[in-house]
Amino acid sequence: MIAAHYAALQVVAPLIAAPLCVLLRRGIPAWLVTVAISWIALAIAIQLLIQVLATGTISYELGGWAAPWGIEYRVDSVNAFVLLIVSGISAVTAPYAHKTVVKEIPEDRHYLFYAAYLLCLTGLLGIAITGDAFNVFVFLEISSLSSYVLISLGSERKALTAAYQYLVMGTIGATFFLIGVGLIYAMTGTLNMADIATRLDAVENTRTVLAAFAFITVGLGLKLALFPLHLWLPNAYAYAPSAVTVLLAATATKVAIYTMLRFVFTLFGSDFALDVTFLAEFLMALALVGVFAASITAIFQNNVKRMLAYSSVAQVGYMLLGVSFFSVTGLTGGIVHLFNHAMMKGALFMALGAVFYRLGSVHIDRMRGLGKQMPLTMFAFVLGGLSLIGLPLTVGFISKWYLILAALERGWWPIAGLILLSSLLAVAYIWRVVEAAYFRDPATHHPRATEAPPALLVPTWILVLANFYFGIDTSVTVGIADNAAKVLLGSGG
Amino acid sequence: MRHHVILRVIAKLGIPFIVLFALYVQFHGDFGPGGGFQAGVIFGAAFILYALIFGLDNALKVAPMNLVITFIAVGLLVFAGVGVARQVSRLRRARRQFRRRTASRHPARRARSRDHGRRGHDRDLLHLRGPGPVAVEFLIGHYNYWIFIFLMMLGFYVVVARGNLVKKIIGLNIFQASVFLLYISIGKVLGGTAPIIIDGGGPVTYSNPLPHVLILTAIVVGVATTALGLSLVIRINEAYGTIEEDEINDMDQEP
Repeated sequence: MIAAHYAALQVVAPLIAAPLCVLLRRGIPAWLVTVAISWIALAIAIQLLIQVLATGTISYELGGWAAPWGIEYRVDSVNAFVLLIVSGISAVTAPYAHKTVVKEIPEDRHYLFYAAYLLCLTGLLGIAITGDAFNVFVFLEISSLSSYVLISLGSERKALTAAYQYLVMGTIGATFFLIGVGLIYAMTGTLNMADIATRLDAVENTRTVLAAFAFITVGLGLKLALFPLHLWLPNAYAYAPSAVTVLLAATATKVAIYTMLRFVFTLFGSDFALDVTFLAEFLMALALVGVFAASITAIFQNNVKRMLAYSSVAQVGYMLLGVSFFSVTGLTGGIVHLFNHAMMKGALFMALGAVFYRLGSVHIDRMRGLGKQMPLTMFAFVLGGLSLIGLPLTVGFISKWYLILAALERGWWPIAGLILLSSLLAVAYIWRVVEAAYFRDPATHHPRATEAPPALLVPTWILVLANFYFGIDTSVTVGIADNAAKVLLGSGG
Repeated sequence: MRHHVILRVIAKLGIPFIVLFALYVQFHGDFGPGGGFQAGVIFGAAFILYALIFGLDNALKVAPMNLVITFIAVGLLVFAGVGVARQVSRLRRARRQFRRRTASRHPARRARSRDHGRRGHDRDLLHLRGPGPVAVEFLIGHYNYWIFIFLMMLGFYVVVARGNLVKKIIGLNIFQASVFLLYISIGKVLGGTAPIIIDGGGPVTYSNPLPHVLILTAIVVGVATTALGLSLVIRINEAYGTIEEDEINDMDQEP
């Protein structure tokens, strides 16, 4: 009975829990609700994924309204994977959040923080699960509005300007997206994605559809921090509360990339994108420039959170690079990197959150000598960093392996070379932190820091170990990503 | 405004009627277009008027912050609860009946299915055809789209070019409002009326109501964005003592 409603529950559970948190009025009960709901969401996502892999696409009609007219939730292996990433990260972040929230946010706002957290989760899961183009916009705004709130709760005043900047750019992005959806509706008379996909073929060569395509790609480009539309991201990630940075860095841009994949491949179709538009060349160029520009900028950052935020922009570049090959291998690399990047950035930002918890700062000078004072935290950071660089046995290696394979498949040697070269840039910025933490003496005027509490270390290490587990046993992640890539390119699955 | 006797007296007289009218719209909503949504807006307007005239402190005495927060949460719960309750209590038979009913009576469905039938050149909104009188006709015939483009660029320009954070929000508002016009234009069928089914009446041409519904949602999103943006500006003003972007950047550079 309830199994038939998993698709709806995935979104409804956090949505209903959010106002409950507000009514509870206390930080700790609200936190417990958040943790419980995050775990329930993860359980549902796993169930959905198993169901999809066993029986194929799940279609769920909301309120019993038949598909092209009512809103349909449609789960295939692509978004089942995204649901797993989002709910999985949330399931680890929610338990982690409590300690950092107590430290960083005034007590009277704790329950509101968790309410916003759950709304953000609702939005992210909703974008991933829905099969209705306008519904995507609604969920996009639910997740965005709540993430502006979450970012503005950061302890520095720069968090406010970062949230404001994100609000302005995010709203422009979402409105562009809305214009695109409106133009599609004008041409096809439908909002259901599957329905749009069949109807767009007939009107494909009109200027309206081209305009819609442009608006949607640019709008989503803003949301997913496509270089050079990434300007909101570094400050937003750097000044948000630690738990928020973990959640957003590991999920928000991924969901936006998923939406772009969905629109480009399922709605417009890869043929349209390749033949009529220059999306492939455009994405590849921007992705490569983004990887290098953002990585180089990251090297010069002294705020380590900001450094990793720039690194996130670079990593988005890798994902889009994978997409821009328009081949199964490339897409597999891109999609598997959605998951892998969530694991590595989740682990790194969690370790940084633990540092911030003890030091109240993540400035690179303050982290001197931290390797001895917080050995477990810093070791987690180092392992996460190795994964980011792409060392064999870590998830980062798997992603880059597939990206390079995809480049070689097309015979594009220089691009494979550039991917390797860019990894060296990651070595450079991670090394700066390692050098400070292990090879410098701590500044004497600061008190010695002690190891982070287990409540922070356990989630961090879960993600660090996940980096290695999924780096060694790739059958699950690459298997699903490969299946998803085939679904997107329409060659079965 | 506290020293303006006229405003105070008029507001005091008006507010009960505004609330009464809101309740009227609320309970009449079942029988006419609109309903709860507009009623809520009118109801809220009464409180905003009170806050504007008598000051925020007095308004907070009438509606304390805790009460407001609780109301928001309960409202969302009721809203989501209705959906869930319907889903839970739905029986198979009821569902089938419902489907049959919607298949024949739901206006959006009919409007949209008719939309599907419309095809050909006039569906292509941005397609310029030929020089001469046709182009002029195109320019005039699509005036609503030109207004949309003008407003969109205007709003966009304000967002980019203005350094004042409040002005940026205003620009953002114009930008969003332009999209509302686009959607409403798309839904309009020439010569069409409101999509109300009259029993016994023959087939009528009516405008597609769906874009209006979508835009209602987008307006709500826009209002939420504006409210959040302005509250961020207030917090920024408290933290920095200014709402000029340049000055804020300078202050952030210093340390």
